[in-house]
Amino acid sequence: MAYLLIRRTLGFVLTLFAVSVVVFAAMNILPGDPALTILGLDATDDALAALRAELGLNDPPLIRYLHWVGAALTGDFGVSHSFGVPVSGLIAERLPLTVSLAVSGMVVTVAAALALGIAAAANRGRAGDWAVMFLSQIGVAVPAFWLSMLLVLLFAVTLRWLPPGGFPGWEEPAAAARALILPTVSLALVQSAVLARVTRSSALEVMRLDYVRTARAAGFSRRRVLWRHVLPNALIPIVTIVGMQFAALVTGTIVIENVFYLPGLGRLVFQAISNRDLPTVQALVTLFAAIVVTANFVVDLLYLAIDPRLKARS
Amino acid sequence: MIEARALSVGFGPALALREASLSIAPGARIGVVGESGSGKSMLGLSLMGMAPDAAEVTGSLTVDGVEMAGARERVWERLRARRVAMIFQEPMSALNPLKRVGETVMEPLLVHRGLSRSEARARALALFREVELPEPEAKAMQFPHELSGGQRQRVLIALALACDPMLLIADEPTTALDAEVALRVIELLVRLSEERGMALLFISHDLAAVARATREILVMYGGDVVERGETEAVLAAPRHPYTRGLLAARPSVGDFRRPGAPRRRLPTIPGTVPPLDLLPPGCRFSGRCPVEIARCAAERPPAHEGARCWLAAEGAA
Repeated sequence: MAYLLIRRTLGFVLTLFAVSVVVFAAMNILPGDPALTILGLDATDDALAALRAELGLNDPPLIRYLHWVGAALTGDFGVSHSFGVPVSGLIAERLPLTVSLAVSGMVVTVAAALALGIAAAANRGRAGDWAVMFLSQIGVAVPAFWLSMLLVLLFAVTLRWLPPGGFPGWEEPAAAARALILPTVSLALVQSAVLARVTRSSALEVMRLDYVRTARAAGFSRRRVLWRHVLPNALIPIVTIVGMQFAALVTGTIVIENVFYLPGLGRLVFQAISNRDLPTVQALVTLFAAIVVTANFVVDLLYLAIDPRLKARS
Repeated sequence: MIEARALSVGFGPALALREASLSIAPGARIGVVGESGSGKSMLGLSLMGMAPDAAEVTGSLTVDGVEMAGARERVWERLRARRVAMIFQEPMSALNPLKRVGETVMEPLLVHRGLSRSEARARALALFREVELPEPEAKAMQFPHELSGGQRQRVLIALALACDPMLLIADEPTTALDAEVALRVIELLVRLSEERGMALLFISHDLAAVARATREILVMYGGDVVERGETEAVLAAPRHPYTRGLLAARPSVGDFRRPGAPRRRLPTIPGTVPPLDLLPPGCRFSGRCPVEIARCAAERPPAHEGARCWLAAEGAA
């Protein structure tokens, strides 16, 4: 158990290190001159050279990497070229929105998928099962950005129930929540379609097993057997997919925040790339990677919490 | 008191169980023997209302005079919760791997009996002691994968006993166990049946196990009960050719060769059990029977002094 935890933690740290190297290398290989971006095309060569020296762009790559990592570890991601303020401040300002979006998307995904997947498995081969399978097939096939535009057309433009985009700020909680409904649904629909199918097949797999028959023979109702015996045992593959989906949801916010004009990290990363704002892009890509790696780490811990047999093996 | 009358389980025209009749008195110990596919498990499952969804069950089944044929799932669930319990062959896979075995045995007490958690825990420990699970307090906190096969089967028996059933159906309860452990599980089942006045339906292909566990016996072949009677009498003087074949095919200790002893080939019943839809319409055993007569394949023999065989019927006539 302790050995497993140490191994997983070590893997977690090494993955983050690899991510930082790759991100740094990618940013330095990409064409484009930050000094030119900041000063504009009219800048004199002297001014450009001075700025490059000030930004440390002339140092050897290894020195620049160590500078960057060392500062990042203390929470200092440098100053944004395009906004002229510390990157950490930019992130802190936008993080709550993206996190709310990703977490609410995940909650909706899991709730919808478990309910639909279990219901489909319980009604295998009947109308309810077919309906869930058909709808989830569509959900899997449809791209999220297109679906989100359809949702905006229906609920914002035609019915006028919800705002089409934008964000009023956290000072108005009700309005903020309303603004997040459509983006959340857009994010969750596709993911819950995938997860519902996984849930269904995993539950069907478990329903064939002997201990489910034991539970039925003990006189428990179908519903109780389904939720208390089948679902917990069906969770392992579900948790695996949920971990991967959380990563997809976090990166999915980049698209969704741009479609709905939400001031979160996803929009920030889009703007920073357009502006060749290297410190911001580096920080954000690292942050997204860290979130994904952390999600996988949490999934590993969840396995241990769910299945006592894994503790015995490790 | 449980009475089955002409109980059949069909998949389309194919019958997995053909007009089986059986009455189970309190404290009775009845063995059901037969090869796989003989319908013996289907008989057990249909007494629980647990025949597969695709199966069509006909005939009558009364429990304490109440007719169960056509009963709704809720009614069956109540029957399973209170009156009839069942244990199965594979103790390895028959327990929920994510639950501590103590919790598993507490569940019916909490759900069906409405006991508090502390009452249920005390009752579960008492059940563990009754089935002679060693160190019940410690074992209750363990997961199924931490127990041996025999211990798991004892946990399953404790679970089955939780709500004091009047009938325990044991479907091949000892097949997956070592001989020594199997013997002790059989002794336990007999003792529980005697002490509780609980009927035991012991389903097995192992004649020695059935001989040890039961007083009455049903021999099944191809979905039909081909012979029935007192266990000792049937095993001493089988009347149906299938029962005779089954007894002859049983190895005895003497068959294991001592150095220099002459080799004896174990007799077998020729052929294999045909699939359900290819069984002959008359006596299910015709085609494999060594003493078959003309009418066997087409006409179903009547039950004569416990044996469903034309030879026995005509020999008496």
